[in-house]
Amino acid sequence: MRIAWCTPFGKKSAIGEFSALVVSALRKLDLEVDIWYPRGAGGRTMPDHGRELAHESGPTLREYDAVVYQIGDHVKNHGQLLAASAEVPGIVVMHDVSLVHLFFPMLIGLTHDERTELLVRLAPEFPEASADFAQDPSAWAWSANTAVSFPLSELAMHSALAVVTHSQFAANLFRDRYLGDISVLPLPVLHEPAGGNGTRLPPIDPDRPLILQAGTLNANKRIEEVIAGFERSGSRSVAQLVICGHGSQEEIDRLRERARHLIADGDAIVLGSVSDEVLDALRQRALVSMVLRHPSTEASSAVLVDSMAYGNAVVAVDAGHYGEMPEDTIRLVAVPPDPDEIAAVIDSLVMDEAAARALGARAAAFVTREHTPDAYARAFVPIVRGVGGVVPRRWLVEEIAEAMVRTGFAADHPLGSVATEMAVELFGGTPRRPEALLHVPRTGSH
Amino acid sequence: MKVIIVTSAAPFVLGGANLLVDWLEEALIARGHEVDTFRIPVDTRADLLPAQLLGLRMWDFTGHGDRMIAVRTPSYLIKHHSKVVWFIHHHRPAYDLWDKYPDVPDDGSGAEFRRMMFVSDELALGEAETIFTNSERVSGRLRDYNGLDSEVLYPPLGENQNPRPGPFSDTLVYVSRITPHKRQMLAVEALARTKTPVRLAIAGADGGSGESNRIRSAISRLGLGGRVDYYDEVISDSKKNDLLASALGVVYIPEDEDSYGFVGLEAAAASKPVVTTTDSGGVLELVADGVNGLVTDPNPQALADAFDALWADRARAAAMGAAHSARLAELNISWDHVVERLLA
Amino acid sequence: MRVAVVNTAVPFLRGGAEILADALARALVAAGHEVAEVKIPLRWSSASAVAESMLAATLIPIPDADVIIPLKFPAYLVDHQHKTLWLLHQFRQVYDFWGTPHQGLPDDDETARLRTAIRAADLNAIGGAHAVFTNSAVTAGRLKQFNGLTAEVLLPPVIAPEQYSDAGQGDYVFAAGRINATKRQELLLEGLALTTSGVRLVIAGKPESDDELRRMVQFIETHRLEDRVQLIPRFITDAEKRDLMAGALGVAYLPFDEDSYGYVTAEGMLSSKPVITTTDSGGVLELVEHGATGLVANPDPEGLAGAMDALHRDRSAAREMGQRGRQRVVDLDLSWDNVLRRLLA
Repeated sequence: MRIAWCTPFGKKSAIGEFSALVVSALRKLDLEVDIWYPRGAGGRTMPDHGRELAHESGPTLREYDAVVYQIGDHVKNHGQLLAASAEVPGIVVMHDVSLVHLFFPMLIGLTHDERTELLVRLAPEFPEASADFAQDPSAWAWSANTAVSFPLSELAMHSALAVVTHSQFAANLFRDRYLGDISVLPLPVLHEPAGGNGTRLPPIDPDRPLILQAGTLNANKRIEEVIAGFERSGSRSVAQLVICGHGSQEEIDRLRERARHLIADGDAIVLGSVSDEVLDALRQRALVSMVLRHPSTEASSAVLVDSMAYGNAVVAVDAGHYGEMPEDTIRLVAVPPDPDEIAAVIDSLVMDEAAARALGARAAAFVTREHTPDAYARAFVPIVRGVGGVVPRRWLVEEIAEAMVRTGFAADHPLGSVATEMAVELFGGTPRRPEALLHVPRTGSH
Repeated sequence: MKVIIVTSAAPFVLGGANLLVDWLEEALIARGHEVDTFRIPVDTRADLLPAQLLGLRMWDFTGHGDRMIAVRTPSYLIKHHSKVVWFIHHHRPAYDLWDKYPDVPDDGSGAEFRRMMFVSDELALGEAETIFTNSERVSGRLRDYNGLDSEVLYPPLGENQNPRPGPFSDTLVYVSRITPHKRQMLAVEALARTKTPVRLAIAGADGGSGESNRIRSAISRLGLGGRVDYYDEVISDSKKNDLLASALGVVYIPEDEDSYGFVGLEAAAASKPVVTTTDSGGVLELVADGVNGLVTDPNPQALADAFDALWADRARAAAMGAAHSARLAELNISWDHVVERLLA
Repeated sequence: MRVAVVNTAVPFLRGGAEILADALARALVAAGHEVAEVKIPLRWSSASAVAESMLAATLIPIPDADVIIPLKFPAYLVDHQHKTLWLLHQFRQVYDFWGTPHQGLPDDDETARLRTAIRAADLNAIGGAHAVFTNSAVTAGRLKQFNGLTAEVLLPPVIAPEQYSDAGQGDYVFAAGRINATKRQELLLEGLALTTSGVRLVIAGKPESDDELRRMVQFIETHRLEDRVQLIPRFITDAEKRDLMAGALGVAYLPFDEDSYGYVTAEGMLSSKPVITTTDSGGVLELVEHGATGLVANPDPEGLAGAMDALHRDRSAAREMGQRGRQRVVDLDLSWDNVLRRLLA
């Protein structure tokens, strides 16, 4: 079976890293996989350089038995793949639940008339969002609320033969918007502890337990609540909080200002962006990893699984996909994150280091067993083989939709739900003899 | 009783299963029942089927009449408070003939289509009080594919069809659609190898496929022109009954058919032996070698021997022809039995 | 041509429309066409039942037909590029029956949405048809009034017109057909009781209920009409009907608000008899013109008495009306040839 694996493939791309690992694993299972990346999004060399997708990619991709498209919320990395997936239907791997930013440039690129037409069409189902978009498209696009309420994910899945995503949380959001099968596969760990003993540590206190807050410095990481929580915790003078991640100088300055008391007392350090090696060293060293996201709009979190792979005691929010990790491998706080609760969780981990390390060890055991490229590849193979299952369902839905139009019933008429329920009852069962679905010789012949 | 019959029917096409429904109607009315029949058009293209099945699911005859008999697939999807099914065959492109139909590819979409056909069949058939089939083979398939039990209920010839017995001439009769599947060509090739003056009468239309021309060329090529009466058309019932009345025997050698069809029953009504082959399928449930006919290997020489055997021993032919009624009684092939079972 | 006659059906219910559908199919076969008769069910116990019936109807495929001829709702929702309607019934519950005791569905949101859908569906299916005929001006009028759509009137043919003849003017008015409240034979009887000319009445048909029959017999006894009224309370054969018509003074047919003209009307006219009907009979008035081909009375005993007496008192006027009536039906060419010619144009 020949598979085209379409993905951003730049050195800095997490999805590129993901693809490199998964493709290698698929090849170990004797599948022929070619890596294709959108124009300007190459750069990796492992497992191979991959190839750049031409603008007219249709003829190329049609040669394959199956095409897999990585879709995420970034137009440079995924815009061309999105267009290709509309032309040559394949398996869509949804890395994000919201694709507002992917579609936004296209939306603002519309002429006034096109935009009006689009709004008129969408308004009945999304009255508020349409109004907000009409009023201030830019604010609408960057609002976290929009990401949740108007994700535009269905536009990417529309012609997909199958959809893969990385959490039940995401799958549940997609289920209303996609007819075919949605498979949930565990996101592979991208970064494991590197060899060596993390000698590239920045100047942290070697005697204190390390609480690591790593990740791009934006608002939904709730770094301010982490700071506040650490401040009022009993662990303040016992552990050390290290905050690192990519951000503007302004953001870094603001955090340093906010944490100035902690910093002054040597209880916290605020670094900006750090290299992979430094991050690796910090993670190896860390006791606790803070991985708060609120609002949570991701399908999955590479930071989460990576932190767990390092055996850190991870603190996350009890929302989105985070709650899908086994209970004894993670600590969860309620949303919205409350500094007092954060303080209490930090204390419970810092004050009982053995328990924290045990938690981390269980987390590491779990992800290194379940969240691996090999596990992903093995689960992916039946999806590729079964691709196209959505096609007959689409026939049904399209015929019924046309029939409802002919008979004067609006799309939201209860008859639609009646038909859906009837279809689920009629076609949703399990065959009494599933093995008979494989081709068997005719009864009584010869 | 008030009986609703539902069946699918390609409009404008006459076929075996339509005759079955017509004859069932007649038999029920003759026994004093009131019948209302719905012949439902169905387009069997794969991409159009799921929606049609859903549409049929919206038919609900619950509360009407005393019994609903569903015959051809997918009519049994219709709801009724007292449903029985007389199952003739599956939608075969989704089942045993899957590899022959381009409509249903061997990939994820084909697999999903087939799964949908299986589960919808199982749901609807599961609602029936009893599932009857027209042959052991079909019952076997229902069991193997769908895990469903069924009772064999052999279809009789219509009560107003009247083949009659008569003398035994030199001519074996083969009245059927002219297709490669029915193998009239094999009968002609067999005739070429016979040693006695036995003759053949072949009647039927080929639907424009050109098979008739091919057979007639073969007849000519083999020098059998004087020994074959070829009626290149659908002959009238009365003509057919005439041919049967004076026939030496009836030839019926289709390849691997599910049910015995009606030719065997016509032969039985005319008290003529049936010549068939080991691979003909359902007709072997009716015909036992040496009892009410001859069953040979499917090659020209074996058939030729059988043709000759009948020609040479008319008494034996007559005895085998007479043995049909016992066989039919044994198999309960009668409308009294059919009606009794369908309305039980 | 391959023609599909598509009718709406309820199991075991067989009425005039079903007889017409079968007769149409037979006429098409006789004219050399390949015909399929397709029956589509309708459930109308609730708005959702109607909606499902509509969806089910439109999912039935008849691609091999060159023409489909649907007769009723929801049969005409079958999707086909060459649809020639011979419209007998729309779903009147949401049109002219709405707001009357025949409405059948509750006045709620669900029904409101159904009404909207039916309007749209009718506009689409009937408006988009190749041709639209109706069986009477009444049906066409409703289609115009409620849906803004125009249809041509195509009157159903008379069955076996050649068997009707005139055997001379008798002294009785003849009323044929099943006896029930809609057909109003009782009203006619009450009218006879008020006549003064000596005109007689023959009523022949199966009463729909025993009560009906009892009341009529009672009435005849009470008003001592035994020698003026002959009541034949059973199905009569075609031959009996023909003979009774041939020897009548006039024929009476006065159903309440019936769409079609009524076979009895045309049969009476073909027998050269004037027809007595009433102002509220509906489709009958397409054939019966007051003073020309018959008499249209007020729907009360006095009006009917007046009409019956008028025929008896002026027999030559009655004969003229009868002859004009026959000519009218002949001119209308109520034959299957004519019907097929127009349906298959």
